[in-house]
Amino acid sequence: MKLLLIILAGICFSIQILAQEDTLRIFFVPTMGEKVINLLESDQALRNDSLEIVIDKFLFYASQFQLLNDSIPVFEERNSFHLINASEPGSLFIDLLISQELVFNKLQFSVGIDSLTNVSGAMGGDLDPTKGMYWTWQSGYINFKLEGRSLQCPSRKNQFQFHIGGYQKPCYPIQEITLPLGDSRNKRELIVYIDLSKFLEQIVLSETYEVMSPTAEAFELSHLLAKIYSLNK
Amino acid sequence: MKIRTYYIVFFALFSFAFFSGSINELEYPEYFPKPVYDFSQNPLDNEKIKLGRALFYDPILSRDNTVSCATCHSVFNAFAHTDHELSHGIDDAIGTRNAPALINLAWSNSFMWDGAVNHLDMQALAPIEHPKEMGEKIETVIEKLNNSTIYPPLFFSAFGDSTATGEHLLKALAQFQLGLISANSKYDRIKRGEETFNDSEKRGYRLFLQNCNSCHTEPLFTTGEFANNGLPIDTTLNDLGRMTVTKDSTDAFKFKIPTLRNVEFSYPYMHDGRFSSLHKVLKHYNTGIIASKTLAPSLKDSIKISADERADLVAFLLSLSDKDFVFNPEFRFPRETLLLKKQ
Ligand code: HEC
Ligand code: HEC
Repeated sequence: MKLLLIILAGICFSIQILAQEDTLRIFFVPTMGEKVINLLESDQALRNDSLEIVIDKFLFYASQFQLLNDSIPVFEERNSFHLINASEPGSLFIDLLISQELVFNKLQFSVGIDSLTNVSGAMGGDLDPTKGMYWTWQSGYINFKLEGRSLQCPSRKNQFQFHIGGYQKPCYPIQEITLPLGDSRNKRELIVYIDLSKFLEQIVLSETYEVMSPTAEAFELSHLLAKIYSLNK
Repeated sequence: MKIRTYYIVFFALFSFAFFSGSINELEYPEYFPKPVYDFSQNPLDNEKIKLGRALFYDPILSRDNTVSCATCHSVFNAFAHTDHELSHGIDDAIGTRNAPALINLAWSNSFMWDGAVNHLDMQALAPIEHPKEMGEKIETVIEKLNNSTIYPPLFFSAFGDSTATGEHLLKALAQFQLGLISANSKYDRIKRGEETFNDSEKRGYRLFLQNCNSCHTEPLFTTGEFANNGLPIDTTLNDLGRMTVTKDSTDAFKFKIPTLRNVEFSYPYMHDGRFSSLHKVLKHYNTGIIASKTLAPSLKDSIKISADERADLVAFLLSLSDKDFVFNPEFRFPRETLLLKKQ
């Protein structure tokens, strides 16, 4: 019996080599305005006219990847949860395996973790709670974590910390992002830019600099996220 | 995507071939409802329970290796803690709440006195990272486990992978706790027709059904809901209870209704451990209830019971004591696993 199962597993393993599939690679590039953020160089000051800002940490969950043709989903990644971490180059792209003939003109994904996943217990991979994106004192994933410094913040070391997450209505902050990409034929690479200045410029940093629990305030900030993602500008 | 699916099938078949055989079923009486824990995501397995038990008793989970889960949850107290009213953790820090008993957790859909935790798997993160409990980072715990000599083989036997992960740590701890089933008290034996109540217990049971069962509903002796049972507010703590989580003022001072199974062993009582005996608890329900906006409607009029009736109620509550639970050798410090490593 065991031998049979092992042989079966072996067959499955070899079939995949035959399957004709292609990789669509999606890169994520965090920026401050035009300037690309590189967290590997420490203490990179990103000077923008209105803001004087250093980013220390930037992570978010991108989930539920879909490709649409007009408004019809033509591809859906199963078990689709990716932690994108600006400090880890290996996490800044993901590969979707799609059929070679697939025609699509929109990329869709969510920023954050859906509520069902939030109440389904311990999970592994990018959802492992050791990734620093899970609140320990009150259950729930952090969807989007941005930490840094600005002279405008009256806090210790002028720090700001935005941990946006939660899963319970009415403060359910997951955001769906849909990005049109024109003609897709032969497109095998997409670049998603994340302009953090569009987020920070909407916030009065001298007043709001620490949002670290699933509150109405965090929920409000989550709406800003929909506007900071764009494709191949 | 397809490649991934094949990999999953491949590994599923592969691991099934190697690790089948030690899976077991949760055993519980037929008069219990169906558990709410989703076992399909974490199927019970003796090796995982064994790992979970070792982790539960191992102070390696705390920053300075002094505090284990069992420090605050002692088997002899039905996994509650009796030396302190409020929990007592790392660096002798005193917390803000009383450690509850851990009983029949497979039937709970929220955890902590205010329900801040939504799944048994995720509960352990709270004490591990709480600065006054174990004061450790989960990432560091995983590192320590991977550098130890005993855990890699235990993780391998349990999950087919010797590298500890947060997911596997939490699932193993949950498995040990899911097995903490109490269903062999005198009450249970009576349910099964093996014994009968004496007169005092019988009167107590009747009083219980009239006054208490709406919240402490049998056979689990809790509805799992939140209620304000009229305790005067302790102004040194000002604990808002459920409202801390929901931010809804109609939840102020509501706390999770605790099970009454093994209450004989799990003193002191209430979220802040304010009552040291069942008689004091009953006196509260009898004459101590404080009216407030969120007080449970069923307690608006204090429960009228005489001193004799209080004694009968206590007699009934003691019939919920399950010696097989608190003296279960399977629930104790796992010497065979943990002491070997210390040598
Ligand atoms: C310092 C004492 C302390 C330690 C150590 C501790 N706990 Fe607790 N435990 C508590 C307290 C206090 C509560 C109630 C907390 C609250 O309501 O906010 C609790 C609650 C719980 C609950 C929720 C029970 C329910 O029905 O709501 C579980 C489960 C639990 N602990 C398991 C564990 C595990 C597993 C560990 C080890 C990883 C652990 N505890 C370590 C004190 C402790
Ligand atoms: C309206 C719901 C409600 C009713 C009715 C009720 N209780 Fe409770 N009971 C609670 C809640 C809620 C708590 C926890 C309160 C807290 O810790 O702040 C509790 C706590 C207790 C505790 C402490 C258990 C522990 O482990 O700390 C005991 C014992 C108890 N109740 C017994 C009774 C008895 C006996 C009756 C009937 C005379 C009764 N209760 C009626 C809601 C209720």
